Amino acid sequence: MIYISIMQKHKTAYQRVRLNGTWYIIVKEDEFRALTQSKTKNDVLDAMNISDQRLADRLLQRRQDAGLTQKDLAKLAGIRVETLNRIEKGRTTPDFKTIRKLVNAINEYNEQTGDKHVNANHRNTESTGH
Amino acid sequence: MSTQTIETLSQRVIELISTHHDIPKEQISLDSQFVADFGFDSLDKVEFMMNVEEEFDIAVPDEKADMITTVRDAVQAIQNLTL
Repeated sequence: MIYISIMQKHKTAYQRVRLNGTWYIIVKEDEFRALTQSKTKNDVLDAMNISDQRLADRLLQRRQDAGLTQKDLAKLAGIRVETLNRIEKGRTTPDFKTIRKLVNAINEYNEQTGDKHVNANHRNTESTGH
Repeated sequence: MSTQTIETLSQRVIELISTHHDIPKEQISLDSQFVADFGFDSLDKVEFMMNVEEEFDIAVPDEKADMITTVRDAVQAIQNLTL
């Protein structure tokens, strides 16, 4: 159990769990929602690194959807693979320029492979027998 | 640039935010903040800027794009780049 003082008013006990080497604190959903919707929501989200993690997850998802490896995407985007790895783990917050490079690289790759898919489909067009 | 044009420009930006980021138009004003009011993360912001560039046929430098925090900032940046 861990005691956290919220707004220095009341101390509440929270259960801790460890998953994949990271400690998490269990917060009731309504408390969590109240925190993220409060006037200080930006401070709370920053403190919790939620936006960084969300960004990391979204970038990872896009790379995987495109079927790119970290190495390939790093090369296409012109960034170091170590940097991309840290971004996807939410360990570093990429700047505007880096995100733009990644988005452009993924979009361009999707456009190219999209064309290939169209061509492949076209070549392989077969009537579906009944 | 005339007031009319700035208003038209603002409307186009609001329209773009509403369409691409699924935010009801009535919730968007010039003072709206991308992060605080729309819940944008930096990926949303990059995509917004890319949409702006496509829509207005301009190139927004990264340093400039990074400074944009409100809808008004975006409108002003577009205005400066399309003069």
